[in-house]
Amino acid sequence: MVLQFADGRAFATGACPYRDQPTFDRTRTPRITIAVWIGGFQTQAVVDTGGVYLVCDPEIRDLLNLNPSASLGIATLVIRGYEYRGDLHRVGMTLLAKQGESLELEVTAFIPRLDPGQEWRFPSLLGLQGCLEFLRFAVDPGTNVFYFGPL
Amino acid sequence: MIHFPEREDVRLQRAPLVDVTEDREDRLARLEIAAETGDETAFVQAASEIDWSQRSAADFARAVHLALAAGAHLLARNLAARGARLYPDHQELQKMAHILAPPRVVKADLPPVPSVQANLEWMRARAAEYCGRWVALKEGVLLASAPTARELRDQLPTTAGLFLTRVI
Repeated sequence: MVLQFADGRAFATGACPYRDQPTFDRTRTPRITIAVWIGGFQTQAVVDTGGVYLVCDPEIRDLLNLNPSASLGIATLVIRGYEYRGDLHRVGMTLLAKQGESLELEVTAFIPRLDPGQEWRFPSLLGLQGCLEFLRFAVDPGTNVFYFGPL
Repeated sequence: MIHFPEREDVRLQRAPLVDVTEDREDRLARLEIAAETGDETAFVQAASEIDWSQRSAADFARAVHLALAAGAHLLARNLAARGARLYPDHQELQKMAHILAPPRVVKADLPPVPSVQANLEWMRARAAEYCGRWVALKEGVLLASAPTARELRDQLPTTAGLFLTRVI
């Protein structure tokens, strides 16, 4: 147990270090970037509580063995003012703890399909609806630690 | 701003016998207009005026796609879940409900992963040298870098367990 309520119940069961990295196009505002496990490998993703779904870098498609027939088909997502079309999948994702317990989730993932000439300007993103909702999480900016746990 | 005629207005302009089929289509047409214009608020409003208990599985599936196009993601989830409950044998609705369902905890007691710290430290110290490229790390050690994920994958005997990311 990493963080607990006053009565001893667990608030967070895992903790990981994060990088406060400037990530978005034309901004230098630091974002909370943590390591996650998707489809058999680790990668990094930015906590984006204003967003939806696990939004993957489009090239992650080349690293995942996704079944196209398991996709929901084309969906549209506006990310920071840019409109992207892509596929929705159900994928396994693990929040990786350095301390405590790692947490495996099943989440909704949006994997963009770029049009010719279209650029991808973002890291992978951990949105709220479809991804981080129903988790407890907390941030300690003093030590750059991200705490998480199941409800 | 798009003005949608009130249902009563439409009725008054029709013959005394209301064509129920046409009315049903009007309601879905409002969803389509809202989706095409990306107007989430209008979409949610139009959806709230539909009696979904009388709708077919195909209407639910169409509405879920339209909700996703309109950016009404929570409504898309709710419509998919409701449609899947009403039509348990409809494969597309079942798939929609599964993909859009709230996230689910699969395992909550997995061991910690110490390499998280080593990979993070490499990213802090060295990532700037590889800006725009994909990198592969193992336990904080750089194994390969490439301009694309596919080229990176092709350089490696396996990607299993590695840390793979584009450096931004």
